[in-house]
Amino acid sequence: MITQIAIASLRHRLGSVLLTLFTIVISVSLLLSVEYVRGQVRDSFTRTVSGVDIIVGAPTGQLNLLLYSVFRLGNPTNGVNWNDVAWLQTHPQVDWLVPLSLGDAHKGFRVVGTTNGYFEHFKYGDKQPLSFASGGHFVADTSAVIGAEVATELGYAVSDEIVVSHGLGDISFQHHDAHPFTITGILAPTGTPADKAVYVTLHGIESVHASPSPGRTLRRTAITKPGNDDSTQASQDDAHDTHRHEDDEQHHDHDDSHEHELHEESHTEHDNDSATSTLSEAQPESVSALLLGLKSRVAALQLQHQINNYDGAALLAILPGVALKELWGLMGNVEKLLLGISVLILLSSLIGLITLLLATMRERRQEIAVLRAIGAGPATILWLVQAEALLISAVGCVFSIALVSAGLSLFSEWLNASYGLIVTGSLFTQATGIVIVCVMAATWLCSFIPAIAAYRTALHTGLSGR
Amino acid sequence: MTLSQETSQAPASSDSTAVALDKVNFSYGRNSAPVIDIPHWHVNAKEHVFVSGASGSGKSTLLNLITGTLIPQQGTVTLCGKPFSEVSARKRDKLRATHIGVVFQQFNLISYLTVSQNIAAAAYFADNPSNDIDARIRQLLAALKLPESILRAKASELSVGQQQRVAIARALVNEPELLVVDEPTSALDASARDIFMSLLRENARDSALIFVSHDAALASHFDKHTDIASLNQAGATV
Repeated sequence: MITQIAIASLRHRLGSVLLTLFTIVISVSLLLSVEYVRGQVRDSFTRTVSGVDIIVGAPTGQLNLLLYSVFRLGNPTNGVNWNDVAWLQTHPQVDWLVPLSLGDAHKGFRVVGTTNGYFEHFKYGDKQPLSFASGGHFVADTSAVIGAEVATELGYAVSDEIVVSHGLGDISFQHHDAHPFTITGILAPTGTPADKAVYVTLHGIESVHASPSPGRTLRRTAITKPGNDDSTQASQDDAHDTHRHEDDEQHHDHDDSHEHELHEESHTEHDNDSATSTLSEAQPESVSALLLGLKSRVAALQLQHQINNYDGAALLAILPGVALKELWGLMGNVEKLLLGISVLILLSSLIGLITLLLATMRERRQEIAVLRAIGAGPATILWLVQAEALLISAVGCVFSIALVSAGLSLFSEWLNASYGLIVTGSLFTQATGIVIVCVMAATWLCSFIPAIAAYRTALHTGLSGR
Repeated sequence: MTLSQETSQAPASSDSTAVALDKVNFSYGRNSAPVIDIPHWHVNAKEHVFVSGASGSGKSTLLNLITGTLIPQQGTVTLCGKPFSEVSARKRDKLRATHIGVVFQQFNLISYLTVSQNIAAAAYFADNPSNDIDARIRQLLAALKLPESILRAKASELSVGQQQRVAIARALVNEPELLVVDEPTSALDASARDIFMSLLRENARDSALIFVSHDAALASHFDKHTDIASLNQAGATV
């Protein structure tokens, strides 16, 4: 009966109730959206990399290494000399090792020089392996594999040729036109930065930047531990012996001394080589980072310590999980700020709700007198006002869930395209439930203000309502 | 029905008394003069009493004391043998819901509720089983010569006369021992007033009735007529 009276009372004041409801819907929707997107961003974060036990790079901050090696953000400050990679390759605790060579881009998408081991070992989400939507891994030095988003946005298909550009910007004036890569595979969508990358062979990216120098030759030692695809697919192509590098320290860092004229000479040589279309096992002088898988994850901390204290060269080893946590900790402040703003907006809406109920109190004196006369106690009057507030909030929450659900399904593609945010799953999560419970609890607490006013009115209102 | 100018000022046995006031003293402020000062007054079960008095003579205060919405600073109000003014507020609300029916001068009904909801609300607060209520409401509407179609109408859509009759139905739905009526005819014309009085007397046969009005001409409809000035020793003007 109280609910019936509360509903009828709200319908009686429909105009002002609808306005209040509107503000509640907006604020709860905002709160739900922030909470949902926060959860999705966190999921995206944690699903970006899995199955990689250690990431190794040149000494820098652990966040920087994580950002450029996994999220393709920022630039590597230095390279890891291949001599040091060899030490890790033969380390008894290392199961597999995937080198990454960064620094180029293709139409705004990062280019990653790597080996087929990347597609075999790199995992995301809950240890989900990368899979191919079409085509397959590298089959020659000029092979390229592109992420799902690259394929969608640029309209590429298997067998298309692409040219990488020097530098990382959207626009580059230095295209390696003489060294086209042929797309051999397109990765299935992952919702991670892997979708936005162009993968080329380590030797391919090296060739693109190679300078004809008698003193610099790509090495021909094995890249990976036995069992890696590259070793099985390595060709016997000798053509790349002709790639000569002038400067060992600078050839991969894409610095200013990277001379275009020398490239041209190298490209000419490469044009002749590329016809062989087989996968070389030649080695680079250095790489940007290394992804390591261990035989036992228990050894991760021990190996990290060993790498960080390695005598050969200064190296930095990070544990992806720890670095991700630190990165999320930084992001968490922004997230908390957003959440705080949303909570403040919700509070202002609740103040509006209180104002609505308080404003009606004078005109409700007669109504309260009637209720008192027929046996409603002050506590019942208090509960009636609270029920009205809770009803408005409950309806507001229902509308908000519908609005946010509709919004997410409508804008999911845009969110993915613009922010790489994969909108998955239902809005009915534990976090959403907590938000709704908090909104209702806040409403209940705030409703005490008008409810106590009604209670006091009830106490002092006689039968005549005076 | 006989007309009597006597007031029931002698103590009566509790089982035959609907309501009794004993040494009741009430003022609106600690330092204010008493508004009500009644040594003793009672209304017997099924007795219909007319209380007249000038405007501001304390009639409404008296009704608030009888219904327990005001509590006397001194003295006791007893309802159906229970010390009404001395029980907890919660218990008092419940006693009011179950034992007293109230009809006001105006604003009797909650305007945004339907007739059915207005009457059912009174039953709800008295814990009257809801399955019996529909039949009881229809019976009351028939007795008060109101069509059943009115049940779904909102109170605000009714005429004043209809509202007053629905108010009687609401007051009687729990078959109360005491019916308190506060100037219900002041907004009615003579014809509507006569119909109202007739229906009230007819349907309140099994209840004690305290009818308050400044219109002494209505006294002929009641068993007893009491002027509040003779009851109230406070003699204050409210």
